[in-house]
Amino acid sequence: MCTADIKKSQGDNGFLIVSLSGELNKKVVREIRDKIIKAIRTGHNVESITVDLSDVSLIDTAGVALLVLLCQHVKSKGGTFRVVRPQDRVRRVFKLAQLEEFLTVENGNRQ
Amino acid sequence: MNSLMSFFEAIGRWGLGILFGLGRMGIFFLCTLRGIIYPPGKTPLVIKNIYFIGHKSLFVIIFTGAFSGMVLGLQGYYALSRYGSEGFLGSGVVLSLVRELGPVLTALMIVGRAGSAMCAEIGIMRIDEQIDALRCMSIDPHGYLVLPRLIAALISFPLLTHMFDVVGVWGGYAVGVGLLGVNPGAYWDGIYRSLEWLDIWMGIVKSLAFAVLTITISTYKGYYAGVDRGSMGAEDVGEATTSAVVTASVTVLVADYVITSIML
Amino acid sequence: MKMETGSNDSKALISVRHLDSFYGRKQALCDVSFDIEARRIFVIMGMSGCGKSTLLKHLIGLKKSSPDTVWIDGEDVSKWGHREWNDYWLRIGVLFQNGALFNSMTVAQNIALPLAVHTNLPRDIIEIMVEMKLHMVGLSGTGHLMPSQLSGGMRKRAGLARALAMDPEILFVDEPSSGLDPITAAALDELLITLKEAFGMTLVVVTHELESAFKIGDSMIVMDGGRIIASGTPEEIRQMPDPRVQQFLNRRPDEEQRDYESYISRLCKVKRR
Repeated sequence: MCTADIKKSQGDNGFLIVSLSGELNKKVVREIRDKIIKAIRTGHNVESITVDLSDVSLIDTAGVALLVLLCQHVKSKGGTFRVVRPQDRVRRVFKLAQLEEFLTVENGNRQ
Repeated sequence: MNSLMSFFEAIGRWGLGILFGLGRMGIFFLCTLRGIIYPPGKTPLVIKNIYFIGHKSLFVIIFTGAFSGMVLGLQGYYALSRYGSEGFLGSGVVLSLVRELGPVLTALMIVGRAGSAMCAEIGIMRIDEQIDALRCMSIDPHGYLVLPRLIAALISFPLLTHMFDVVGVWGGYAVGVGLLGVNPGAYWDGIYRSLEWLDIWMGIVKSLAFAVLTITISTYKGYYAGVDRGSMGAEDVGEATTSAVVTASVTVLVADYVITSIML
Repeated sequence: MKMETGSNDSKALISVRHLDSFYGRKQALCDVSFDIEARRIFVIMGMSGCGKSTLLKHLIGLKKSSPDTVWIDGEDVSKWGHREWNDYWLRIGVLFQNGALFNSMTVAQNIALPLAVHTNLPRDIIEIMVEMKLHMVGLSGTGHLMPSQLSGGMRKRAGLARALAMDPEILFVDEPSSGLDPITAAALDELLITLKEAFGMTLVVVTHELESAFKIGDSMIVMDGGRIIASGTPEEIRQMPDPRVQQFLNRRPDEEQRDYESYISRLCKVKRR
């Protein structure tokens, strides 16, 4: 089970903050992806996405692939992408996939 | 005394071996049918196999059909002309093709071409542990490898058989009318009068039955290549392929007799 | 490592008790018993023909086990039907000795196959996952190639990428380093260890490469002639006084095995031309 709480700022040059909680695995990725893409497409342009993983207990490669997809989407439009406050176990998976830098994984607070 | 006993033992072993093989093939067939319910989706695989079994056999079937029709025209003419009955050439050609030669020769040609290739392909998968790999991925090998081929055959065989028949009729026309001077009106009229729905159904039933038999036998032989001997080498694949073609061909001929005797 | 007899009261992920296995009349395994703990790397070692591959087949369900011999998650697998086995196979990944890649598909299609069949993941996600797996095994950029275009070692690594496609709970690996150069083999060992730590994966590795086995194994068994001749942690095994174990570890060919007398008599039977 995984829930996504999506906050979108108003106005142009907006940002999207996605807070996920639960297990981000292949069973839920499609649903979460569709939700986030819908949020991106409605309303104003999104220039940066921040994903808060503090409540995500488990992630598999499908979950990582989702983050990569979002990152690709934003970066191709010149925006920024960040992943913040991943738990240790989740961080190890990013390291295994060698994607810490690409996804800009940070421990800091979200905006 | 000992050699007499071992002779009987050998016969017994042979008989039991045949029963075992038949039983296992029956189970193999039922497992294949069960694959209809489960994933993965079969449609792209079926289409791929229709191309392989159907489309790629077109040239062979047209070629064989044409020459079969031509030979029928030739032989038929000389047989019938003894009794002054050349006018019946059309009937003779069409009934021989639609009831017998069409389904049987189509099946034999496809066994030689596609059946042997299928057996070899699946046999190689067996010795390379690819079938084990499918099972361990929770993908049923029967549903994934065999069922699409079976469905493709059920679609392709009747179509190819009808193509064989049509080309054969024209082949008979080319020789009978074109070369030997039979009246074209008599030729087509003979066909029109003698061909009945029962003949066409017989052809369809036979082609469907042959499709099931030949594909089941070919894929079965490949699936179990080397398994009984416990060895997994190229020679097992070769042996399986030869056995598949021979067994399937003989089965087609036997089944032909059985179906004919039931339907006539 | 204590061996319990009779029924299975161990809490291990996989338990084997007194397993025998036959091919016709030939006995391949004799009274094999051990436990595999979850989230550990379990190594099965032994010389060629000692029964390692047969044992692996029992653990992955390719060979039927007798009742009360193999337990997975506390269940006797001899009682399992199609559904239980299919559920189990969805949780495991298997790397076969030669990779067992499907010849009619590209490497990328091979890796994507289980994802395409068993999940509803969209294609773009699957493509990214395939790239990630290829990178993990050191085969980045080879997704478009056909298996026949790969070397033996590359095929093996592609097979590993496919085994990892579904992020399995348990990974079974048959001879991971065979056919690989030392550097790639070492990288693969590191990958296996990282998989255990990052995903909490349980690994069962069949190998005869001593260095690799001692490096990655948390517990191991040594087999000979279908029997287990040693079991324990790498340290425990290294210190075992059993001569067969020491012989295996020190790679000393057995002088007794070379039957000198019959060798000479066979040479003398060769007729002069």
